[in-house]
Amino acid sequence: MLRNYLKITFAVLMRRKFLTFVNLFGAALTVTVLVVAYALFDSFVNPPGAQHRQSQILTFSSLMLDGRPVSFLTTAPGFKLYENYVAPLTTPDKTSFTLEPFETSSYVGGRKITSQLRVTDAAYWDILDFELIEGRLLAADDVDQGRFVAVINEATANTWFPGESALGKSIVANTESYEVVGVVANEPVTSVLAYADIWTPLTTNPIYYNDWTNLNGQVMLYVEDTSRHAAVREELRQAIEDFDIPENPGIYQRVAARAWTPLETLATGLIGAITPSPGFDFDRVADGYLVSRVPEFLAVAGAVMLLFMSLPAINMANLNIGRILERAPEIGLRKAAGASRRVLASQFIFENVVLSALGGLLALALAPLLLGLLNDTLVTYGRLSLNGPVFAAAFVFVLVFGVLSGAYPAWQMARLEPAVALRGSQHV
Amino acid sequence: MSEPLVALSEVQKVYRTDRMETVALQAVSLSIQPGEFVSIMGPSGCGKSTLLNVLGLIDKPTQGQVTFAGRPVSGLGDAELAPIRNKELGFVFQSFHLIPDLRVIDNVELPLLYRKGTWRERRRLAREALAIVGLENRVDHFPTELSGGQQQRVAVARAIVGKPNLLLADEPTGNLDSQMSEEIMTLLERLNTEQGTTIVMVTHDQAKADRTQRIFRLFDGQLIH
Repeated sequence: MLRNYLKITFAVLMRRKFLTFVNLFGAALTVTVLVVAYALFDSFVNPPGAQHRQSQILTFSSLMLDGRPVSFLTTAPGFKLYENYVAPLTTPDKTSFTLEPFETSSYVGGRKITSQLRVTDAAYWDILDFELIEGRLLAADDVDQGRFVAVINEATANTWFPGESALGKSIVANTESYEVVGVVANEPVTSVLAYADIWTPLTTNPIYYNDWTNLNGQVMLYVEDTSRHAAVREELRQAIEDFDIPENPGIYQRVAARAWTPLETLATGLIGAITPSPGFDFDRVADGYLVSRVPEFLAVAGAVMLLFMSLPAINMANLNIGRILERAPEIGLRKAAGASRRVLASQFIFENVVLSALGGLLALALAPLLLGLLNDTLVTYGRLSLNGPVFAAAFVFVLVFGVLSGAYPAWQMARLEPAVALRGSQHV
Repeated sequence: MSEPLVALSEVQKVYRTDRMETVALQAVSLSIQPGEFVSIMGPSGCGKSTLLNVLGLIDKPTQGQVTFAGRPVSGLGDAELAPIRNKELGFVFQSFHLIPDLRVIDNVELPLLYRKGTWRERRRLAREALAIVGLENRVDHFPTELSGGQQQRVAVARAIVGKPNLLLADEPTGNLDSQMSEEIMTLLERLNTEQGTTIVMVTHDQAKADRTQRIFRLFDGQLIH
């Protein structure tokens, strides 16, 4: 039966070539955009390179302090808070403190070079899995002794020292000079924990390690076994409960901290965190603050995708109804030959899924071009690609698009009365 | 007398639009015995095709009963009627209704798609049906590559491929010249006598109707005797 369906599908597609082109183009464009969007999403959730173990990492980069009526603060952990309250935790296998990368400018041969500088502790290099190109990574000694050494990425090495080894050479960042001890592969901007151009020990400047809170602080809590995430969160919650900022003792009576997976971080970043209103109940808000927004995020993302697909799908459905009108006698014939409504509707949806699949194939050819363009432009050091999950997502998009655009015309076709259809009726 | 293969009792068919009501069939009662070859005659617009469609379960009567092989079928839904159409009925239309994009053999096997069976089995039955109508050498042609008579023979092969008990032919020779129309008429007679297929044929041609065992005459939607 499928063979017969395929024959008629391709025959119908060849009857009206321009219409087919419009349909294919619509499907291909829609699936291309969705595949690119999914590839971006996937690069955050399943990043390649140094952050590939991120499912085992919880990131603690936000805390809420309630000292009303004097003060209320939403901030991020500083190194001192990390050192005194997080480092002693026993449930994580490893913990690390780093600051989000910040921009620093230098002049090389009269040319201004802007780089992203990240300061780290030594554990950072154990938790993330950087690909070392030459030299070594930052070691515990470098951090303990506050050595002015740096690891740089390939792009920075090529900019500063084109055609030669960067090892042992000096690089200037944030007005300080550092000796390059290692070169690592470029990490994309979508890898929020690994991305930077230059990495230096956080002990090279007290401004990096003297704060209890720091809006750029990122604490990584690494566990081998992801089923222990809940235990880590609970231990963190209990440890942070007693936190009091020594510079302002007694002001903040209550503290809430959250440690999230990358998906939870992304979801809250896009959907928006809880915004307390005056006179709020801290415990209730803290509960919301601590709960991730993943379900809402997935619902919104799903709705946006469906909406995005539905517009071209409606257009395609409209074109398909035109095709159905042409095929009324065939539909009548098939009904007279014993095809039930269900079978006919299935056939038409099948035809549409095939058309969408052809559009999907086109999209799979177009998407790498677009992803390559993004990698070269908007996504710094981007590694967006059509990997397994993205390919699977494309398959799902094709299927959903095919069913969405075929279901209504199929239903219209299937409800035609056979005697009416055989007369070639134009009324569906 | 044995049980009729198909019987109508007081069947009425009314087509309604917003502006008017057209009575296509009025109090039609008839029965057709297994193995019969009958014809339906009447002027244009008298309801011949409607009567054939009601007999073929592809149109529902507004009132009255249709019985097929002893089973009342007027109230059945699409899902119940589809297998009856598939296994018990075959249709031949004046304008052939072949699918132009499919080869002859694919057109012929169409009814078999809606029942169980392997591709090989479908192909075998389709070739057998084409052999019966003398077109075994045209299996890979497209309909447009055939003459009108050959196309109608393909349509007949499609109608009989599922070995139906009742073949309904709506002016099967209406679009053919005299020689081709004789070919089709002879073929239908052969199917009736050799295979025992019950045939109901709508025709305008008195000579052809005379070659059938019984003639139903319709006038303004009513049977006249």
